[in-house]
Amino acid sequence: MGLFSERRRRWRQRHTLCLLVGAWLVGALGCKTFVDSTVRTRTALDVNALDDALSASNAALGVKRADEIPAALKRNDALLLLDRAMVLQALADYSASSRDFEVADKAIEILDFSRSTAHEISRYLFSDSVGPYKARPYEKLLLNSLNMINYLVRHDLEGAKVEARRFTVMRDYLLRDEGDGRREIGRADAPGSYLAGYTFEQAGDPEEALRYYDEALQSDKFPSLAEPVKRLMRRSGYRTPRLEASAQGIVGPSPSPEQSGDCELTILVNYGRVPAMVAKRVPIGVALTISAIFLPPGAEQQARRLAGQGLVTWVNYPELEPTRARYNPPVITVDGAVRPFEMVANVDAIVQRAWDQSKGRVIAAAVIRMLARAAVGAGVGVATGKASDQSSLGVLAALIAQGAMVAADKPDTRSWATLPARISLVRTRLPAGAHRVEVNVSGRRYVRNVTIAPAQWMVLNITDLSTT
Amino acid sequence: MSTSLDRKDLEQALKVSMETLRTSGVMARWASENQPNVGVLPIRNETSEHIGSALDALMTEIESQLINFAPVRVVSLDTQDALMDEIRHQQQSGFDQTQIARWGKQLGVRYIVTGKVFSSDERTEKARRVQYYLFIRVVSVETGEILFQNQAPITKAII
Repeated sequence: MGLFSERRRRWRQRHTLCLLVGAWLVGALGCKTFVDSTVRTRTALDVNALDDALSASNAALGVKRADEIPAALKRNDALLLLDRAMVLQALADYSASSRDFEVADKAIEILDFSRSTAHEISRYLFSDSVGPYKARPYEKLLLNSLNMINYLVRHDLEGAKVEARRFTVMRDYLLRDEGDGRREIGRADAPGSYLAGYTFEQAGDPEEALRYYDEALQSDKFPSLAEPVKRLMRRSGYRTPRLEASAQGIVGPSPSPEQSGDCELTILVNYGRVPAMVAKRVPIGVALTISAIFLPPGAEQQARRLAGQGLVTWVNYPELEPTRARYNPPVITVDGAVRPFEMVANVDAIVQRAWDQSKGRVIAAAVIRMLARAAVGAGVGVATGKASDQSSLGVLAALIAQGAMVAADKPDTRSWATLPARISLVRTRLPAGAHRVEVNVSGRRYVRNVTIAPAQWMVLNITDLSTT
Repeated sequence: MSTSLDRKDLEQALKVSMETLRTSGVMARWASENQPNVGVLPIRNETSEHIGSALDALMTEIESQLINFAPVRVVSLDTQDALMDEIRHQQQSGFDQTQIARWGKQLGVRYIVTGKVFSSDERTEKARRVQYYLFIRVVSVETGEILFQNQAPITKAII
């Protein structure tokens, strides 16, 4: 009997060790993060190979064609749809781009309200990437802003107004805590407010247009708004100091397109691409330096103690890549004459600012996960040691258990990495008729020949997401 | 689980509105006028949902119901593309009585049925709730008098 018990005890030891080593191997081998699954799309976009980018986007979504949406959206499909929406916008397939934006918008809204206890436990032990994706505030605002472009290009004011309203619902929610809300979104609402104002201006609603333009003027001066604001203020009693200041520089009443017979052309150029999030490992000491202020009381000492014992050495976390390139400003000509453009949004700066605000907290969360794993590992070690009656085996088991959990810790590299780095515009009045537009951006020339009827408006879009 | 409006939601709200119309005073007025011509204008979308095609279907449904139970002749905008385009364009900024009078005369109708869907949005950290309203109105083309008005609510939420 004694011999049988001894054999059984040794079998349990070997079995436990095999399981732990196996878990470590599986964790070590399966360490791809979200950004790895989208590298093909972004590599193709780097060189403006749009068909390849679309093909890669479809593959990431698990579909064959751009008109397909996965039957049941899985965890990261909303983000993948945003990526494909931008590729489609670059391909000038505005209808399909709108569809992808709208499906993603709904999915992100539902994800915002979805968190289960299981997700929370997994996030606490393993990684933020386990839980549903919570879009960042600037991503939510830019989603509706960029979709407004899709509708305006198609001259669909009804659709653009719906996106403007959706933008407003989100903006109002994010700014509900005035001080913190504005700090959180920075200037991410500027393009949406500008485009919403433009939409309602063209729809013949001066009050709404002025309200939105006033919002846009909270972020920047926008010289291109001076004349429209002046015209709209003649038709509406809505006034603010910002609107008055904007219109001040315009001397004399300017006739509306209806009065003059001119047409209005707005050229929106989205170029470059924001950096992606990548997985990074830093020594525990560096992680503590950055995140100490965000850690709960006692956590920093606990982490330093574990580091001193050699039980933990590295922390995995997501980091924002450096900005890929400097972007030469576009050169936009209409009928051979260069038109000055206006920067509506430096999205690179918006993304960087948002990351700088959250980096400490993200690393602190990684440190807390590390401490939780150490506690789990210690528990495994104690249990194994008791079962085997060999403390050395317990220590080995603790290290292997922790190692497996570290290996399975996939930093959350999810982000909307196909956002354009810059959004700029030219807004100009022209005589009605045919016009030639040339946009030179990112080393490429885009030519569009347009014909605009008297008193009509037109929006052109060029989206170039390359970084070379 | 969604805050979107679908066709079923709109049809349910329309059912409420049309039931109210059926029992309103305007029915008696129409009955006394020997089948006056009535036109139905596109329903305006003032919500944060893309429901354009559902609203087009609603317009057709209103016409069908009027044909089936109201003592009127329904004049459809279907064959008048240019007028339909103009109305849709003007609707974007709301429209006033002068326009309704002009369109009514162009269509050859005495009464216009108009409407809109609008919403009130509320969002917190844990939920989003949208209260939609389907608003239907009957207007005299000649006088601009509002003869009937009804608002049917639809509540949607994600909690």
